[in-house]
Amino acid sequence: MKKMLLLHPNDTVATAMENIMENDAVSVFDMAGLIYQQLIALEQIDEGHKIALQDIEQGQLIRKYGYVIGCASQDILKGQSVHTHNLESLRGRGDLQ
Amino acid sequence: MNLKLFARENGTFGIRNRIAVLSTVACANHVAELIANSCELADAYTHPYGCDQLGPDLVLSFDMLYKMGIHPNVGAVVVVGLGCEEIDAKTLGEKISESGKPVLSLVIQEVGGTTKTKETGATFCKEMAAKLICQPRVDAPFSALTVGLECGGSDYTSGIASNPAIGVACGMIIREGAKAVFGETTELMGAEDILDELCELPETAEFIRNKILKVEQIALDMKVDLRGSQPSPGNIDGGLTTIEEKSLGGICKAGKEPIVDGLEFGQSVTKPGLSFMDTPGNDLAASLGICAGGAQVILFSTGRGTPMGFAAAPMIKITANQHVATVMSENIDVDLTSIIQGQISVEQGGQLLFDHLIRVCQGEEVVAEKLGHREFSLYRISPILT
Repeated sequence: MKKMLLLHPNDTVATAMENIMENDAVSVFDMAGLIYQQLIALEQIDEGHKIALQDIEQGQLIRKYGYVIGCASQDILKGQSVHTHNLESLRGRGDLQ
Repeated sequence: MNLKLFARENGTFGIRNRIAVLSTVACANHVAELIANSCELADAYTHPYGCDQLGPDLVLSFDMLYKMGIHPNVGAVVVVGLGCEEIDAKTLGEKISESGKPVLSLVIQEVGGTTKTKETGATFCKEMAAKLICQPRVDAPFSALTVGLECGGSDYTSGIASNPAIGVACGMIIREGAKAVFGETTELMGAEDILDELCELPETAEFIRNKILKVEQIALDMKVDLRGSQPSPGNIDGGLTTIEEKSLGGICKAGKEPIVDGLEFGQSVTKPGLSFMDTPGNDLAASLGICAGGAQVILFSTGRGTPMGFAAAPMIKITANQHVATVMSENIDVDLTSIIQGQISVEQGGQLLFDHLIRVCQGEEVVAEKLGHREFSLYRISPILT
């Protein structure tokens, strides 16, 4: 069972504490060290990268540390990797002006 | 708790007893380096500026060099100028000497070229070093200490382990009566709600929000996507996707400490407790501002590994990334990978940092010092016009 870390109960993503391969079973631990959720990784997730803990629709806000870290730029399935390909910053976007 | 530090005539205390060789202009850099290289205690403060500067930009450069001269970790100063630049070496030297420190100002065009200026400076450094080596450390209150908090080359471990441990150490430092300061305004974008809660006064919260908005507005005015540099490619490889995510990890350095003051770049840190200073995210520029504010030592977390030091103050390098702790071990002072591995708590990590900090303040060299990393840069606030 691979280990992931949930930083805040309101978060929609967790952080991989080791390299995770497609179809790996994953345990998400909370900050108290208790298992919060178990799921299957739908794709490879490198150590330090994020996994979606629920289905996230395009445009929906994504939370880590209990706060918004950006919004989904495409639909994301529970168990998929969340990174620059599907999560966009909402700040400093002069390119959208 | 008392510390053993170097007392300065102006009432400040240093954790180091160095000679600063300040170059007032790019044209004087090589001579400044020759002088500094002649003496083990001397550091060259060189930069590409000092000429063709106007208005507030010129004032800032002068003020930053002045603040490096009067920095508590500096026991003697050599100012080296060429002779035709806006930052006059003699004026700068005289202003620094008001602090009671021995200062030698050298103007290359007046002394007569590279060799003579180098020899005059080297002779002065030799005399000063003989005196500084004999200066004893004396009892100093913990409140004499100002600690800078920085992060650079962040990755996912920074926000989970290193920065929260710095936050714990920050609390311990402040409870002992010291001052702490953090900056890197760009890297607070997205952490405004946390900052609002930490700020003691609504004015301070508003000050920080306005500084963040100012940086964001620059990206909007330039019609660029901040994502070109924030997070950096290294941050992204390390698992950080957006500036908001990077900021939320970065602000963990503040711990649970109330923010008592908001400062402009390089402004002196005066209030006990944690202050915010408006600085760029660039590590050298941030270190300049924080040291100009009076920090004698910097706690610096890194996820990707960075070897940089700073001329005026030892930087304690902290990582919780196991790869970096192994591959770049010579550049790391405190290895906190055991937090990531669940072997020690963040609180225990903070205690390790606090203990290490005390040893560094009382003379233990940091790895950057051992490796000769004593980088310096000025920070320009307007484009080159002439």
